[in-house]
Amino acid sequence: MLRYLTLRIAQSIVTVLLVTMIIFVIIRLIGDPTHLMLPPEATEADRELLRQQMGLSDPVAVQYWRYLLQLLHGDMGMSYRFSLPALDVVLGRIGPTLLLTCTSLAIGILVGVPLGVASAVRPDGWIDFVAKAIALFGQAAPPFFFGLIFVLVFAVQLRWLPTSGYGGPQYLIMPAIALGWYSAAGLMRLTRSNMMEVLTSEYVRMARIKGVPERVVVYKHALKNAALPVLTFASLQFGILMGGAVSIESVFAWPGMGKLILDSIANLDYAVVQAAVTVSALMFTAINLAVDLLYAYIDPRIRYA
Amino acid sequence: MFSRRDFGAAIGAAAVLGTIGRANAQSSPKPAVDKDTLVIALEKEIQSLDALVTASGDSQRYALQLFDSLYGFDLKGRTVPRMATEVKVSDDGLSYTYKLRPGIRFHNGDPLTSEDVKFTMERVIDPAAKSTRRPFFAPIIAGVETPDPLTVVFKLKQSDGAFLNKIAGFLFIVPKAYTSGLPNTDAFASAPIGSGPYKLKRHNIGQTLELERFEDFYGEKPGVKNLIMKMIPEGSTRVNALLTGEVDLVVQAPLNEKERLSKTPGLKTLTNPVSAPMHVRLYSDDASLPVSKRDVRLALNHALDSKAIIRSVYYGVGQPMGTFISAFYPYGSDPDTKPYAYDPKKARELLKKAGYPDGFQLKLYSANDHPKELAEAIAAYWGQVGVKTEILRIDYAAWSRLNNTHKSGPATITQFTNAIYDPIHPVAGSFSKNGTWSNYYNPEVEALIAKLDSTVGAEKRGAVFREIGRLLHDDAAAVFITELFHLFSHKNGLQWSMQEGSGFLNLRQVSWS
Repeated sequence: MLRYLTLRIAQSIVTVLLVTMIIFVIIRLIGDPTHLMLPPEATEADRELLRQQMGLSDPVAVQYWRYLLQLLHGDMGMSYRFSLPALDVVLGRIGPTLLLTCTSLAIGILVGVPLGVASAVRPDGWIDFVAKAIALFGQAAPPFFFGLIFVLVFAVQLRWLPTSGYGGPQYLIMPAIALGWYSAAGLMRLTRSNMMEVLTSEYVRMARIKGVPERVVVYKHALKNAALPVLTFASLQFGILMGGAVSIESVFAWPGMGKLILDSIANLDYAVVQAAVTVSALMFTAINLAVDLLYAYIDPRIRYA
Repeated sequence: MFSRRDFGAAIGAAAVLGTIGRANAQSSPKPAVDKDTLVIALEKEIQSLDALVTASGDSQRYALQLFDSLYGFDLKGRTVPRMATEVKVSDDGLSYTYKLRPGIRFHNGDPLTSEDVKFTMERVIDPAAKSTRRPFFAPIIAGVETPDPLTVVFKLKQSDGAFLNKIAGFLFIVPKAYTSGLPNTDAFASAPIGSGPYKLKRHNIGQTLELERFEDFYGEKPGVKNLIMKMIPEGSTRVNALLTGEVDLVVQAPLNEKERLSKTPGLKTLTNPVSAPMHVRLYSDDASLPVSKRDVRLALNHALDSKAIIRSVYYGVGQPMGTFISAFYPYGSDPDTKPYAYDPKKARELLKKAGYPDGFQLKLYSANDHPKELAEAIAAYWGQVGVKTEILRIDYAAWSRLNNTHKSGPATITQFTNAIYDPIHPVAGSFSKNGTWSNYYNPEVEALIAKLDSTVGAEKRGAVFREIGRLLHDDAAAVFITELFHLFSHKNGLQWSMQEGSGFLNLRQVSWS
């Protein structure tokens, strides 16, 4: 187990380093921030002077080496847009992002998995029908669409909730449900199909023949075996929700990472893009690592492989 | 990812699906918080509060609130005294002497002296400060003298007829002792000290900026004690926040919401010109290109129905232009220089005369900072007279580099925003031989631009600009499309006089009735 853990951690570090290198080079290929910062009165000499001040006039390899050295001290460079350390800018968004991601994912799991189980147990029953309808809407319409409808209905018409912003739970409800719905749809469908497969397997039939109560058959024997792909899917959803909630963040003025990354790319704020991608990559690999370890717990075969 | 159009479709569908009645669509006339507070929905986050360093487009939301300048602009863009009481220009135009108003204090209590002004200018010019205003001053400033605490003299290397406007538009004075005592140049952005009518209370980056009235402000104090600026990037959400009463004033409401806002009782909806000509820049200095021929450029202008474009792309919020000088500058525009008539027949004749009876192929760059529909409309109109237009739609950051380095040819859609209420900024930038955004050369225009260096004063400069405007029109130096406007909407109870002809948000004159 320890060897397995060490290997996986080493792999994760290599992955994160590769990701930072790729993003470092690519963001520099898109363009040069001095063109966006300086007015048209600026000459090429003015831009070069600014590039020197920002440390952008050296070859990319030199810049990357310097970046790695700084990284060892926990320094990810300065954001030119905010005149703040890039890491501080990113860390300021981690809280809201995790709050939204975790709440949405929790909604997705709490709604999607039980609905999937229930509809697999009684296919074509009324629960299955409702679940299918929820899944259809959740997957067919993009989350921001529900976001906009929620705002019109619950904020503009009924005045129950604020239209947008970040603060107490009243601000979290609409964006979390709009995003969570999307995850719930996928999770529900995956759980349902896996459960249906497992429920017809021989060991489940064997358990029933032995007279094991149906509740135990479904939740212990079947669900545990159907859970592996669902777990994978949920962990991938985490990554998608964390960086891909841009449209929801826009609609609800939620100060999250997705919008920060998008704006930083649009403004070529290199340091923030790098910091955000590095932090996301770290979080994502950490989640993957945790999921791999969970696998090993759920499925002993992985442990000894 | 999603586009503005997806949003439009979604909102349309939402209106149908949600049976959105209009029962509640009356905005509450009461302030969102109280009569001491104004809540503003901003279109984009405020990045840095260092108005000398950050780009003008960022600082324009807060600079007039937090900071002050020696001279400033009145609501129409005429220069007026602020921290200075008078200015004297030497006969050779190389020396500007400002007399400072006595008794002015910064937000931290420091008194204003000429040393602060000198320090501010030196900070802008120092490359280490990374000021985006540096290119305006570095080439012309020879030195700053401070004969006494209330007198400051700017010595120029060469005369600059727009110097008064540059000082008014760009030089926000910061206190020397405080600023030079900070650990580094970046630190000012998080803890700015100015001398404007508001001071910083709290800045939650990406969320809110809270300002508080500065009670020791020397001038007329604003009627509202607290300003809360909320960053709400999505346009329809900004509008919804106003409809529910959560905010009092919406900045840059989407133009497609104009009708909904205008029809909502309890709201006042305003358009403000930003003195920015939306146009197609043409690379006419390349003799191998069809656009180097005047007849072709005239044809491209006559082929466009600007009024229809304004109606369909800008929801009716626009105004056709006949030349490059906006009608909303305090001087320089000429009401007699009319927009080109929409005349496809004439356009075809002009193309024939120029030697292109069957038209030609044209590449048109279009950055994603303006509506995609604009490029599509232009391409369609030009297609009708035989100019087969291929649209190259690219990201703004990538486009900026091309456009700044003369690689966005033969044609690109672009605009030029007013920064200092003097047309020299767009005119020299787009039509002088050395302009960053210019691939146009006309010796007559060049001579007039040179003359402007030593021409001081609104009246004299206005006359020269009118002449330039006529020349640019006659030569069809670019394809002129429309003036740009910003849309604002606020609760009826709010009294607000806005800064006309500029993108700057001026909240110095606000109060609740």
